[in-house]
Amino acid sequence: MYALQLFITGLQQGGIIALLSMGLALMFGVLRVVNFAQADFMMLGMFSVILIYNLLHINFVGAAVLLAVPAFFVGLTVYHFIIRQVGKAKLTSSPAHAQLLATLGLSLVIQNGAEMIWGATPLTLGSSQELSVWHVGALVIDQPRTIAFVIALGIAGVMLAVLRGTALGRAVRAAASDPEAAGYVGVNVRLAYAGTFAVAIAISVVVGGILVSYYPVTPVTGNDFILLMFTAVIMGGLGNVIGAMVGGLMLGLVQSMSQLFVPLELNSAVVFGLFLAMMLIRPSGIFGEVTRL
Amino acid sequence: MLEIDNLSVAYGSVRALAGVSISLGVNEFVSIIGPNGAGKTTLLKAICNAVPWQGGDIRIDGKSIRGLAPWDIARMGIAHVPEGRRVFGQMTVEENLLVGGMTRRVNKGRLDDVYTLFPRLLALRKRRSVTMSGGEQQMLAIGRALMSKPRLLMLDEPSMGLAPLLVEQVFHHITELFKGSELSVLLIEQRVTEALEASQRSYVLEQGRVAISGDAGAMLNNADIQKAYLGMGADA
Repeated sequence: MYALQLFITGLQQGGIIALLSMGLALMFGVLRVVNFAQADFMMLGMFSVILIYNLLHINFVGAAVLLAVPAFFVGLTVYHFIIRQVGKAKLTSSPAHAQLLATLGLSLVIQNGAEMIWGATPLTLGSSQELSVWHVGALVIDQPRTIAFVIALGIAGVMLAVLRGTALGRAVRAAASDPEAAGYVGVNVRLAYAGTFAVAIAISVVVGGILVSYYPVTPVTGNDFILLMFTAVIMGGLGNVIGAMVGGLMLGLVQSMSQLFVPLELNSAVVFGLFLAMMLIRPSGIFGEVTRL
Repeated sequence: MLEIDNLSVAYGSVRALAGVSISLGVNEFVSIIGPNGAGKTTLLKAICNAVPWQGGDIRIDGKSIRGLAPWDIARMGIAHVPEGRRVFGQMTVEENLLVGGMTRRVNKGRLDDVYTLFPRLLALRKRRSVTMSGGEQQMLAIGRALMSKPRLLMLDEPSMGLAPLLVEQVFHHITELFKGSELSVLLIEQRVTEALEASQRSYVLEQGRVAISGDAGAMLNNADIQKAYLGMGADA
């Protein structure tokens, strides 16, 4: 029964990591941009939801969803004024290197900016939702975590459905596969890049918004997640969105289930030990290193 | 419909095209032949604005395309089948075709037209294109370009890397396509005989310049061209 309890907790946490990692994988798969600031946008989402909740007293789910729209436009702005310009400027032999450094810089700016505004003390969403649980037999199921998991799953599903089954998704996948050839057949590659970047940022912000219902936030909360996100993306196969989802779920489960065998404090050791083993056995990740969106 | 006027393109300090002028009318089949590195691929890329050009002008229907993005040019009815086919490898055959038809609201009919033209693609429609043979990928690349119902079809070395039998098939398809419609064709080829036989007019590019141009049939019998490109000695 204890194992089942850990499994459920792991799945819930894994769902969050999975969705965060999918955003990262989508961005890398389409634009080849490694975004070190991805989890910092999540942190901004967390603070923003606290802000909105305190001002308007609306449900955190509503606040998180509401945030998607401004987050999308922030993403467009960041892409247009930073990522694209840095890529065009020929600062390094490959635009990807300069863009990687730019996101690292962006991460520092966002973290320190957040500290200026909100300080370094952890904040929580002051709501009663935090304590509510469901009892199923002997199992205790945490409500906010479950809600977050279901929303994460829903967003992931919508994202995959759009990529697979719509003209928009096909255009994005074509631009990811071969931007030059996609341009020749009429895909507006610049728009596909900007839109993808913005969607990935919006996903991060919304995940932050639902995560804050049970996870306290500080300006460096992103750092708790970014390493796990990269681990999930690499384990799933670089640029592979479904791979990132599986990788993320796996990490959540491993983190939680490892408590059966080792003390809680060692769960990171288990996660990264597994990662190292994986890299030795199958360096291209679970699904291989092909871009499959 | 297409006028290229004194076009110059350079990659850094390397000149790829130096003052090339080429024209192509409505429903005309023009080929461009010449050795490797003559600037043939660069010319097609320039027409799509996929490489920046420094001098001269390119006009479609009399209007300069300066400053337009490649996708804008695609939407003007110019379809480019790039060198090396460049199919979207992880997408299925049908998905590749649907992306090709993005520029206009493609009805189911257009997809059927392409499948009628290339029945092999219909048989493989659920296959990921990376798993197909070179010849099948070439059919797909042409089919993808045709999905937008282009007015001008530009093909960059469609015979490259194909077995002789498939080369014949590809040329057969291109000739049929041209005959049956209002389509204009701009073909780049290293296979000089096939290109000259298929086209009406031809240009020979050498070191970024037009060396010879004229009626394709006459060029086929031109002693200089035979000597340089068809492997026949002039005094043989």
